[in-house]
Amino acid sequence: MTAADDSLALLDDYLSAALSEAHAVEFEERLFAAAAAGHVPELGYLDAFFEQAQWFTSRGGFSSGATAEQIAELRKLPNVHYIDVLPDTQVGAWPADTKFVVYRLDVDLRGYENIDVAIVTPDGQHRKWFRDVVFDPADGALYGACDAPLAASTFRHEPLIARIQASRSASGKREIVAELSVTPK
Amino acid sequence: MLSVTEPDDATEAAVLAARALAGDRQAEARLCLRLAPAIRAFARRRLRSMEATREFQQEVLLIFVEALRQGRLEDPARVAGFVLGICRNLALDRVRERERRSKLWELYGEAVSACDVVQPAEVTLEIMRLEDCLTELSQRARLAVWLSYGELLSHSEVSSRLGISEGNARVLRHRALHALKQCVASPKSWEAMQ
Repeated sequence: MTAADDSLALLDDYLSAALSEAHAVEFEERLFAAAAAGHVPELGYLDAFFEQAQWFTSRGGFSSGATAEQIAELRKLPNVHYIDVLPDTQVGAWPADTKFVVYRLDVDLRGYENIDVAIVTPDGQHRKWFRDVVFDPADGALYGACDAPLAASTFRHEPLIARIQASRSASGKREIVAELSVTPK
Repeated sequence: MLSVTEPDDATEAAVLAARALAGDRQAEARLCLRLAPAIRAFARRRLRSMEATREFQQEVLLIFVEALRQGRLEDPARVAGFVLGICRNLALDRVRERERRSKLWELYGEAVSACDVVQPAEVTLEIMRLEDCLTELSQRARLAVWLSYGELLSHSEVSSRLGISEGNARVLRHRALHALKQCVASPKSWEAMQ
């Protein structure tokens, strides 16, 4: 662990009150001295992180995945584009003023848990993980929503495959439940 | 030890403070800018809401600027300690004020909270990067960070909500913060498409 790593942990301990009051008093002396002397990278990072986390409050926090009902509500708003992801889906350009892209991955995950989605290219190169996603309990499908530029990286940049992996609730057996491919049109 | 880097401004705090005392408004502004995140950190350890944190920071800086302009900072080399002292005094005042206010809340809180307005901020590149990076964390790690920085719960409250020991919650949160810091620092593929 580097010195910078220690600083981040220490600052988090201070902010979350994991640091005792006696240690906090001493820490504050150093924190203010370092801040007055110049830039403290860890402080800047966590300071911004606080503000950003509040933005997510209006969107339900840091959870990954949504329900059909939540997506239906979002679809009522303006500038929202919907994509139904089937086993072989071609995705065309969405309107330029699109703010959010909402989607449904056609899979039935009822009876599964610990669901991860790996985004890979057709030749097997890893692009991204979506870890511990939640599915809709009514139809077992995966629903999600994200800002349009982010969605473009998955749906409009290059052909990609969403490989859905999960463990069977009954046996714990890990398996690939589905692979859905998306190709920009 | 806190790591300090200052790529664009290497002026010592004491020099800035001396200039500020002499009437240099730019030096005064730079000092405020440098100290503001530390003041917010001080406030966040003690206050629950973001609004209260902002108010606290403003109040501290107002007192600080007034002190500078009235020449009440005796030793420019001790400017950091001077501002920390303002924070501590103000925190004490706040405790007294909170006690008074909590009595008022008991009486009239319900009527007042109905008037609160929540205004979501605009989406920024940093938020989109964070949104992107969060998906790579486990649900447990996301929750640990969310409870601390989103719901502003204390360390012991977070471990209680997660149903794990305080030590485990701490390690989980530290790892998640490190992972996010590293992730958001690197440009994403979708940025090139914008």
